[in-house]
Amino acid sequence: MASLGREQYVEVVIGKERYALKIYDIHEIIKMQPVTEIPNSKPHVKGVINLRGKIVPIVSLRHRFGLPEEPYTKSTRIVVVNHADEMVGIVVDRVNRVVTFSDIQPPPERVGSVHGSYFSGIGTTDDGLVSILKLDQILSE
Amino acid sequence: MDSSFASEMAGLFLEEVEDQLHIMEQEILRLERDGASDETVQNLFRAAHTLKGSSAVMGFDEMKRLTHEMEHVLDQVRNRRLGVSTKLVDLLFQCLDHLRTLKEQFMAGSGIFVEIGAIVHELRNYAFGSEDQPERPKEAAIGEAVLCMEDPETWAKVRNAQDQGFSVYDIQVRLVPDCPMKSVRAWMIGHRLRSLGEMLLTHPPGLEELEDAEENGTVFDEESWPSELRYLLACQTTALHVEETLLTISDVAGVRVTPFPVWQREGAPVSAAAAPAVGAPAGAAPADGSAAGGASGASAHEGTGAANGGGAGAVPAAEKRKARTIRVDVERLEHLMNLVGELVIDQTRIHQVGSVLHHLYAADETVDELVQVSDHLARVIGELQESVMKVRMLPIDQLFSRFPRMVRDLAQSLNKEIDLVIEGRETELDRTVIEEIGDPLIHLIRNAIDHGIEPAEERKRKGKPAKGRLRIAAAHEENQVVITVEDDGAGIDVDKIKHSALRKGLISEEELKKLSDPEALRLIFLPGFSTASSVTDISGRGVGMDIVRAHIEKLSGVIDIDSRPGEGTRFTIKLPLTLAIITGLLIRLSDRMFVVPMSSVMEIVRVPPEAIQTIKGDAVVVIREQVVPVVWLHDVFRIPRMRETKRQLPIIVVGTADKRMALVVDELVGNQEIVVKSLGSYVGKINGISGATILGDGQVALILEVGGIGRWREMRAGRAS
Repeated sequence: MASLGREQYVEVVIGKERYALKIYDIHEIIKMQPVTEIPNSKPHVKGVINLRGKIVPIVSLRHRFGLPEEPYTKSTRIVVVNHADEMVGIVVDRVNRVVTFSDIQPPPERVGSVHGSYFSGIGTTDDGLVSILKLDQILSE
Repeated sequence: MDSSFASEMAGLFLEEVEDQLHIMEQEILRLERDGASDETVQNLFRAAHTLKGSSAVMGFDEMKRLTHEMEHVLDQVRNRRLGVSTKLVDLLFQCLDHLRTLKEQFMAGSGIFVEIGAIVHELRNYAFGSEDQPERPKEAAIGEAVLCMEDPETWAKVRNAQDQGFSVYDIQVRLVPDCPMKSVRAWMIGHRLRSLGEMLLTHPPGLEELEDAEENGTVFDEESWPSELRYLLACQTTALHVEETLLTISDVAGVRVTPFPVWQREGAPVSAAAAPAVGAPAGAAPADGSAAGGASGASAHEGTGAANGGGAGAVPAAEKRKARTIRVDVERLEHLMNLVGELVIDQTRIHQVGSVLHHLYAADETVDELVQVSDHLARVIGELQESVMKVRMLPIDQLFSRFPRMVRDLAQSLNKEIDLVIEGRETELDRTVIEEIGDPLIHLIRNAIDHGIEPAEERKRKGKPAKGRLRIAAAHEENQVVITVEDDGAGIDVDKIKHSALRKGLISEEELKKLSDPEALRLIFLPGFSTASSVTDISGRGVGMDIVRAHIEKLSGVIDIDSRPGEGTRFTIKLPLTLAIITGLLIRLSDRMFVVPMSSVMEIVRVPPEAIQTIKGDAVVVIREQVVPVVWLHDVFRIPRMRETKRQLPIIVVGTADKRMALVVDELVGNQEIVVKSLGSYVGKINGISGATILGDGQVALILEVGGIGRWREMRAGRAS
């Protein structure tokens, strides 16, 4: 097993881009749920959901990545991550698979139209490059 | 495991200290107010004694030393050798403050920086200075002579031992007067003590050489043996342990173990005050007994013994009563509360599913059964919820009992005379509410004392009693707790308020003219308002009434003010009993559900749309001949307003007596018990929303914060004008 000892990531899709999240940061992945909007909150906070009795805020990265919001589809998922002792759900268009990277390069200045500081690196897989998300940065104000 | 055990021990210890300090404070205040009663002194003594014991167990030496000295002084008071004076009360308060600081430093684990030497010294001086001179017994003189020890060799020994970290104890042992073979007892005691540490000195001298003495044939004359023995022992155990060890020996009537003070290097210890202070404990106890001798001596000894025993015996008795309660970590209670909250939510869902099934299969017996079970479950969960809530409830005395001391100190520093009346101490409310309401209340009290109540001369001039009256009361009123802070001071000058608000640009002249007096009074709750002409240390700390209001609104409470010039001011605070589960009014805006806390709902009305009029751009509605500003919640939350096709608009009137708002909603859904949940720090503070709850169908509904909506309206009104 070549992947043994290497860190595992979950590959997700937002728009046309593939991104990766450390599997260690992920609490669970759930299907899209009815979201209660919070009026007058930050633009990237879509609202809150009821995750088995817990109130969990839901965040959209589309706003952050300069993409238009799109209607949710059957493949839309919420990736619930642990962030600063709280759970936060990130809406993604699709969850692909668990990956490991043979090589990780530092991020460039910009990845497409997105600032490089949102990424901790660019991972190489057997079928192309995947940008690794820096959770703290993308979830910060 | 070890460290967790240690921290648990420390936790228990700190709780105990807190309890005892609390008792002490109460009793000292009582002592000051009512003078010395046996009970008060006894309680104080017991508190000091308990603290001494537990701090000794924790190896918390400073606290042990201080409480030991306190105990000593209190013992003298108890035995009527010392009177109660203002000086004593002040001294005891100082001790209390020292103990508090010690406790805090112990808690912080930062090491002990409090210097208790001075206060210990004062205590000793007090004990010595006020002691009745004629009663100072001859035997004490002997004791002093022994322990003054001009013998430099002994001094060197004491200092050496202390330098090496040994505790040096001055031990006095009293034997039963008719004890046969006193010399043998003395030898046994000496022997036992030597097993604990190093003997530095004995009195009568040569106690430790008894064996040799007997071998040499020098037999002590039993008759001439004193019944009082003294030892100076260097050891590493606690005074308590030494005491207990000695008390197991028969024919021992009493033991007194005093830690020998740590002497300054340069100081020759014969300073007039200090040396007799060491002797003083010796003087006190054996005085009557040995002087009288014989039978009366015996009874006196028994008397003191009984007094000591009484003190020790009373403690377990109190503990026995306490054993019916247990201490529980707050975390566990919170967890329990959360679980009950989940149950409440699930139960509501089961109930809904049940009624849906009932509609679908009206004739089905199984569905009937489900509905029955669900009903029963609802009752059980309801009771469970109530019980858990009750567990979280504390009497407000927890908070109120802090006030007498505060008021006393404040009054003293401002040179005012204040009669504090506290009512409704037993009123129970949620512990989180109690924790949160402390600061605002303290602020109100400080204000009342500083700005409200006038100095005594001024009060006399106005024909009022010289003593100002401050009343703090709590009471249950339906589902709320009402707390009032009331003074009979100067009251608030409305014109001064108006003037000040105008000057600070908080309000325009036109608006001011429209305000009624009660409305004008409420101006003091505006941010940036303060009428205090002079900033004092007491209440001029830049914390205004707006903070008080914000605090109370955060608790879903309301604050109201009533003041009459020359007669006084009254603040009324209404709070929900608990923050965890509230009764909410479910409302619908467009297709979304919101919850309005019932505690802020004043009334619900339906009005035709044309009843809403516009005055100078502000929407208002007249309800019961009162003009109430109207707010469309849709606007607050940026939800499109529904076409006003309905013939009646549901309107919720919220707010306080003189500051109402009429909230227009699309639909009133009903009342429901809801479990309040936070939106979490990631979402942060949202204006107009205090939290969220999960409804029976699993949906999340947001809970409105009426104060925030009020601010939103004011802001918008401000922008419009």
